[in-house]
Amino acid sequence: MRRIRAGAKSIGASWYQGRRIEPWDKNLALERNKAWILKKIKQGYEIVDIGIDATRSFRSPFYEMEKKTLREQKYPAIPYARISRGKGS
Amino acid sequence: MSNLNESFFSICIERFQFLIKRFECRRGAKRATGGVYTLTYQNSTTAVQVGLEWREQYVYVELCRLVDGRIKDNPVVIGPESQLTVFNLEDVLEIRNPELKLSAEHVARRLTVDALRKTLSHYARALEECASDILRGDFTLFDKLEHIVKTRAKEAAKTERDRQPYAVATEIAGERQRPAEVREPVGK
Repeated sequence: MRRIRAGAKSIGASWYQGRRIEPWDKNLALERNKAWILKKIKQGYEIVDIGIDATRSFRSPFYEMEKKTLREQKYPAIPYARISRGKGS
Repeated sequence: MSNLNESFFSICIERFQFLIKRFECRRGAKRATGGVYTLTYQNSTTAVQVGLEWREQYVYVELCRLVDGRIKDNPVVIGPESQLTVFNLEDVLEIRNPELKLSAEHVARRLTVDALRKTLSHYARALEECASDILRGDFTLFDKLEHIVKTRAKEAAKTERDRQPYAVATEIAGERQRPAEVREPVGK
């Protein structure tokens, strides 16, 4: 998450910061994340792809869901490297 | 702050006390930003960041080689030439004692205070047992860790290229307002 925040800030993007869920409910958390992405797609926002956190050995289920949603919607994601080029990131 | 988050800090302080006693670390402030709770220990060469990401119920321990006395985050996008200074304890365990790695099933579970205590206790013991050289400033292992991370990054990029002719989509950083002109899809 620290990495996502740093990457997003460096290109002037915002990022998903889901509200707390008490008690924690994974399915609800995934649903909210998905709803956020679908809303941004509907609004015509440009989605920026930051790539995986390669220092993590476990992939995030949220990351999988985000990829799947984009594929289903056939919505393009711009690689972060393309946007950050020349910004020292 | 919830019970789990309060417990995270108190268990960390209890279980990672050895970093202060054995490795001359000092403990930094408790941090809570955007659903991420972290506690950092640091000596003259090395930092240890213990974290809890609330959204994913993900607990992690990172080892950092200090640069000019400070933690220098890895580049957002890791390529072949990237200089890496932060690594996950899980990768240290992969090299030194794979039996101590936590399973993917374990990581995906909902955290209770008891589960959090077990995970943090496990990581504290594993850190003390498998990373004492790093904690004393010997970063010889970092070459191997860098290889693991760069291989993972390379394979992930290749998988994405193979899977998607239309768009390269991995982890979503966020969104920006689409400019007025129409953009061509990535990879088209």
